[in-house]
Amino acid sequence: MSNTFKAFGMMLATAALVAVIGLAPTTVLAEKPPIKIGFIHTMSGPISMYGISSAAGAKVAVDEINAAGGVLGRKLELIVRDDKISPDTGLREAKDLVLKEKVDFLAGTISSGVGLAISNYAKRAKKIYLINIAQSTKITEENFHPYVFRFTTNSTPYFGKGPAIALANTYKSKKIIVLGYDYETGKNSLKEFKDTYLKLVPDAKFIDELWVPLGTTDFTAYIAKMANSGADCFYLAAIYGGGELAFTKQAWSFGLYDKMKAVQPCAGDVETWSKVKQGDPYPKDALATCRYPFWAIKGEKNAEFAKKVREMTDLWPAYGALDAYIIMYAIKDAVTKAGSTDTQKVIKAMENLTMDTFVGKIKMRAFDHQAMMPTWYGIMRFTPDLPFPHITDVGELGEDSYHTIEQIKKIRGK
Amino acid sequence: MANGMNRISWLGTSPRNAFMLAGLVALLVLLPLFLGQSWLSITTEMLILALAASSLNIMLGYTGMVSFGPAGIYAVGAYTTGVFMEKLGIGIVPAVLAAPVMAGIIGFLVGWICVRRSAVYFALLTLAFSQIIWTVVFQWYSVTGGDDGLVSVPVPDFFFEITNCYYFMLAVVSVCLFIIWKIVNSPFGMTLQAIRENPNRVEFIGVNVKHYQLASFVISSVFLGIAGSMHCVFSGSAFPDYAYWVKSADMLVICLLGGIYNFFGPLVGTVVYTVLTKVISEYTMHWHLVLGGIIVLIILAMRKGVVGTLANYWANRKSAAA
Repeated sequence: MSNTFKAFGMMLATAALVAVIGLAPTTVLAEKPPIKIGFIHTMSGPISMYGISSAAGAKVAVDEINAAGGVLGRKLELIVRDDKISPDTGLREAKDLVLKEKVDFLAGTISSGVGLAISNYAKRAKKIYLINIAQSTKITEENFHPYVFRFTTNSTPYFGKGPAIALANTYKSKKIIVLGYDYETGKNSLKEFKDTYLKLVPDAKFIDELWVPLGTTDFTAYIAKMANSGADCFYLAAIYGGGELAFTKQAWSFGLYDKMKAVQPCAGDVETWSKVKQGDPYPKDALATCRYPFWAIKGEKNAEFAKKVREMTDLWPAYGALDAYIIMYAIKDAVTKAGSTDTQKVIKAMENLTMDTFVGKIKMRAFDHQAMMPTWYGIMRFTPDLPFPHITDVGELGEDSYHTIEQIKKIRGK
Repeated sequence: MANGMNRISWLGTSPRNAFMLAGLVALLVLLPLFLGQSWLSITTEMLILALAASSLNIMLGYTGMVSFGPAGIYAVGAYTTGVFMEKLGIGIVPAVLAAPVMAGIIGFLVGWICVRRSAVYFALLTLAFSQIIWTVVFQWYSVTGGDDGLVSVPVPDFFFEITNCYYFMLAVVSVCLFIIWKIVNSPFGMTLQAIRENPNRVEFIGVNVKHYQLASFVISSVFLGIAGSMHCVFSGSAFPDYAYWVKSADMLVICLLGGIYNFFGPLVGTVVYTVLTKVISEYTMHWHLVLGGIIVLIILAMRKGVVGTLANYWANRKSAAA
């Protein structure tokens, strides 16, 4: 009996503790309140570098904007939260930011699952949500709603259509073998790649498709098959991160990069390869896409931004930082244009936004709220300029690497 | 344990206990008046998680079956409601009612195989089945939304109001916990506890242990299904993460933290775990390390969990004073 009784006491005490924490006062600022931006990202765990880098990019922009007098006389305030790559946590933080911190905008995140969860909440809470890394086309296509905007590429230019155009512009390979992770994103990437490439290089052939379970890190059997397939090029479908690193090591020791050309869409971004040194295995001469080759972009502003991010985080400036930086300026531009932070007015203003940035003009496409962010591509090599392998002979892809409005209408109509 | 020290006591009808219970209920009912909306939302999540952990504890604490797969069944509940509403356009009432039924059926099939083995083999089988469920959820894109999950479950706007959602969850979770309480304290529940203490002896007195274990598995699954379904209603979404082993580990840790030999263990465990995770991660990026350290310390220093240890401590003090 006493056990039960004490347990109740314990529960009461804990509930009281929760209540006290919940009641902690929130600070109220005088006169002109800041424009608050809730920035949710993966700030801890194995992929925290994406969140840390993104938050730094956002901070550089917020500092610049505030130093120049803010927006409509109001300062921008960035509140950073960790989603722990969990949709539940992301949703919880989004709610907390909207309900307790009373933020005007939500932004951020890498995982598409988390992004979709926050996006769905933003739709119901009627808050604008600006995405800076998450790539799933679902966010702006099937699950589109007026409150979501994306200021980063999506999986179409990144995994499929972009690399196909890049291959047609460079190696023009004729016999291609495919290795992919056996799940929806892998299959979709290949479909996109194949459809685009065969239109551009009609006499090319896809001689085989090898599908491995998601998460596989031992590719040796597949590499042997690829080497003996007679192909002159291989394409990796949605194999990225740790999987791509493992594949590259094995393919390198097998000499696969000397036998045929490689298309490794994800290899161009700095996160995966920044720790690889000269002499280590890397995707030699592979064609890769990249979302922010800071070394290849001309201009003082770019150099200054890259330097600031590098100093702030000790990481090489990545696309997460660039996209978050652009998002903060998009908020500034849209709010200024709208003349207030009224959500509906800001949506209208943002839909018609064309921004002049240090990576060029960026247009927001009103139909799907997808910013026409450029994708760069090039050949992976070591140069004396940087200590890690990176894309060289850089080319740039624009709006033609995204789904057309007609394509999206078709997808949404399904 | 063998002398029945950990047998769960009846609620009793002493005025003091009744007063405490009334106080707790009043506190929970009045919570929205003085708790911020954000914390109220977190409390709603805690209610759901507490139900899930209590459901797991029917197996873990009462029957002595260590399952590594509660998340799989939890996800069956969440996805049943989610798929019914988002993909099939079925209303919320049948979609929610279908969740425990589906979870019960899957629980029966999985349990029927798992109870054929005991201890570590049982645990590994449950882990394997939950990973199968995870894989199905992750790969079956046309039905479950694959790795993106179901994100636009058309939950009525009523539930988007956090206060409404809280009261609804409070009602559902209270009723479920009351039923679980009744079950574990019935003669059936006593048999489960006897099986936990000594399955051989129970077998010798003519009880079909496997049947009871299977019944425990199915009952646990039904309530896990309800918890999953409630989470789907709460968040308007369902994700493959719900079925992943990490979620199972969370539930196990919550039970161990609170104490598996006490009905209130999983409830207190939920509060401690959620608050710890939230508070620590506000201060440090390395919250995994700190939280892990605290859990190790609590489990080493308080082998019966927070509730069990405190209850023992008070009982000892009382007997020392007497």
